[in-house]
Amino acid sequence: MNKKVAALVAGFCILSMSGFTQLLTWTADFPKDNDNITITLMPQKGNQA
Amino acid sequence: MSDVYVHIGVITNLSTSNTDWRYSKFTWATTPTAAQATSLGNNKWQYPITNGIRTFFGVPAGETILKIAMLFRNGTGATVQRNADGSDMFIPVYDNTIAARFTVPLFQPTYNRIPEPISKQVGDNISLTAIANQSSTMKLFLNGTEIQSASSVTTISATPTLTTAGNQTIRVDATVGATTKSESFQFFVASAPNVAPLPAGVRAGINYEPGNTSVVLVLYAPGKTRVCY
Repeated sequence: MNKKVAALVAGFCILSMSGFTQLLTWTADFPKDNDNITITLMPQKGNQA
Repeated sequence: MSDVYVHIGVITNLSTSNTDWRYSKFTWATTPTAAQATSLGNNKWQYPITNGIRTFFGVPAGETILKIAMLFRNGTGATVQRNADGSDMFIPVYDNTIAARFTVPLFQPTYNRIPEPISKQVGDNISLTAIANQSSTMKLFLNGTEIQSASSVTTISATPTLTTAGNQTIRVDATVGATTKSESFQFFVASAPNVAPLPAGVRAGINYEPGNTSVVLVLYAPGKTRVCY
């Protein structure tokens, strides 16, 4: 039984708030086809490759 | 570390699907200087598109650019940064008409934008900020009910309290003349947890009940709002 309990406890996950980062940001806010754009990647999000 | 490169193209009105990139700039697993991203430190990377998006990709006039499609990879292409769901990353390209989008909460750069996971329960607030590309009448709605309105603005914010459990829909409208553009998103609000004292005689950890056929588990989780199993 102790093994079952241990497995159950191991299966618990505790949720926490995710950080305030965004995978991709860019300027200008609303780029048009003739605008320049600067893209910034913060890989803490997404698939975290 | 400088081994970070972009793979980048566009989705246009002639693309046959959300994954039909056109005018891709670079060959996969090659390391041209023009594809190299710049490190900003703290694992943050930047890539500029200069000379205008249309010129940069060589998209002919008359073909409408809808999105920039991109991935970040290492030089060999063995490591690839994508969205959490494995999809390509996209940046919308706009025209001269009114447009609006949320900046808070944070969004994932999926083809159809979705927010980063939102964890809320009844009684929580949610911070909202939306921007428009031109001065407009902007309105925020929670489940169809207007919660904020402002005229001749390019930004609108609100922090409504979430009073009901279940699926919620947030929408922003930006109106100029007879044209209204919107963005909306959905998220789930959990019921507030029942807070009750511990049963008599139990303590943090595993409490074996008589007969050894059942237990009472007491988790100590300071700063957390819920647990799952």
